[in-house]
Amino acid sequence: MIIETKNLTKDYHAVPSKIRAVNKVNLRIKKGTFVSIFGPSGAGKTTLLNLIGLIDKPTLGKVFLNECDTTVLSENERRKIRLTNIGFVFQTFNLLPQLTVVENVELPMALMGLPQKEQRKRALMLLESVGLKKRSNHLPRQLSVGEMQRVAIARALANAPSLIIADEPTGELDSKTGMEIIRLLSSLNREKNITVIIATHDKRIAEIADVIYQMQDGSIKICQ
Amino acid sequence: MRIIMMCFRNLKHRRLRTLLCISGIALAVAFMVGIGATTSRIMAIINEMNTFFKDDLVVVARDVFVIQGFPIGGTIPETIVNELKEIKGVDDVIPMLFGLDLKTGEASRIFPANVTIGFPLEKFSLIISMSKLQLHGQLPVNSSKDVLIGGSIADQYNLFIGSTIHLKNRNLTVCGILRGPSFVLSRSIVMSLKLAQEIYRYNMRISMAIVKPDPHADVERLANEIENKINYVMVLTENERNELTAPILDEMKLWDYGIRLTLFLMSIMLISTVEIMNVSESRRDFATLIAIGASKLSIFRMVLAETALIGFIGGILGLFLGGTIAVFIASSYTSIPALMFIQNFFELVSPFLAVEILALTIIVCCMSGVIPAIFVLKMNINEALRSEY
Repeated sequence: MIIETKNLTKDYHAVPSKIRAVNKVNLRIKKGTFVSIFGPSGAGKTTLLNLIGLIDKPTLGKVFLNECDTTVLSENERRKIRLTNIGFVFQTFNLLPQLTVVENVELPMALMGLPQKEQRKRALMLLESVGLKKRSNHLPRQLSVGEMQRVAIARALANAPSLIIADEPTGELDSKTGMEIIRLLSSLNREKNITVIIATHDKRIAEIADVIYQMQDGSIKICQ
Repeated sequence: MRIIMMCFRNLKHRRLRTLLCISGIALAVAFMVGIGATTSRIMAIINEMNTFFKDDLVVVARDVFVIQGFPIGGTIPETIVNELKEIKGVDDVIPMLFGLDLKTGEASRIFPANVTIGFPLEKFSLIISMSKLQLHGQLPVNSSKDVLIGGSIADQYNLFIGSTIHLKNRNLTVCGILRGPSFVLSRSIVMSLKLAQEIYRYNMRISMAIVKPDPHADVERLANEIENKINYVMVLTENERNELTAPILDEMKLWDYGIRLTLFLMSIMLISTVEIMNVSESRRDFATLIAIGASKLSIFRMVLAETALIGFIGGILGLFLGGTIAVFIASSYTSIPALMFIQNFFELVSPFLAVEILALTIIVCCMSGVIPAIFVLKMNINEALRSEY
């Protein structure tokens, strides 16, 4: 998936004045690229990822996915793109606590309306690929944080997306586990040609990416 | 199916809150069923009383208190039968005496435990329509000691055809048992007028006379004529009898609906509050679902399914609890053992009432989910995704 942003701007209304979280960001990310957006907390990384991931709408500017202007799409069309083309990995994993590991992975497929048998087959295959097939019937609380993030990655891959957006995927993990997760995302990028965008404040992790952007006070610049 | 499973697990996750909420709904439903079953039984009995004398005129002592066809207290001389027969437009006259089994101090009971009905047995088919009744045994042959009894009395006291019953110092023989949907007849002892007069010591007196008008007679005019000719009686047409009880029935219905409405409103408030707490605690889960592509409709369905599940479980529990309450209320105002009502549970709590209240409860509970569902759909997803819970 080719991602392009033009003058992407997001303002939040706060008292006494508005806050510009993302300020006229222009990016062009080629298909199959591993991109990291590096910057301190409050730089606007999450807001930018939410705009690219069509979770949020920009105040100004445009987001193009495969040359399609997403800012003119309806909420339902944006939802369908999120469901079919984008996989999300969150800092706090965001697994549903009442569902088992395999059910969490099946969730995006269930929202797509895939038959139950097919969901289970594919979910188990994805769990195997992240090394957690044996834990498929456990609840998230029974897993370690590293395992939870691997389940979240398996869930992100459920509908075979062409883009994975990972917001601080190592934020809750120790450095060793964090590197394992980044290596997993990197291998997915290489082997499946999936575009991966990660936001991080850890420079060592950012440096693994093909392209590094630095973000500061809502503005972005390319580092590598 | 996955939604229902998720709802179950969500509710299980918050056990105490769910239990309290379901108990609240169960209690509300129990009251609705208990009161609904009781009022509908009373209304059915009152309505049924009139069906005995459909299209007939009921002649009772003037100024006596009448519930549908049945006067409470007050008698008239049996000789009135001949006077009535002489009036133009009267086809037949059936004298009737009945005694209510009300013990001292129990006159305030809504309904008596037993009703003794005495009338000329040769007129049996004119008074009691057998279309919905079954007579086991036979009509009384020996009018000085044979009686018919209702099925409920037979079951309560384990009586059979040929059994002897003791009534006001008289031994009587059961020659037949009447079974059917009639509340009144199931608690009745039917005998000849002469025997009833002897037992209750109302020599040559009757409680009422049923006047069967000629097919072409104007009943209103006939009633007026009877009242003009015999000044100590009151003649009630079917319309007048209905008018006497209509306000009571209307008020009972109004109270029933009022109680239901209040309980449903309280249920809505209770479930809405609990569900808003539930969804507030699951903000991040809902935000995640929306982020990964769940539609508004599926989010709406999830919240509504959770409240509907509370309603379903609470409703089922409430039906049983309410049924038990209705059984004990019925038992307490009739002195009939509760076990007998349990055996005929669905006569007391009609399947229609049960389904109606269960369906209304589920609908109301779904409605209670609307506000929490809107709360979820209006939340700031970006903020919720980062929240602790």
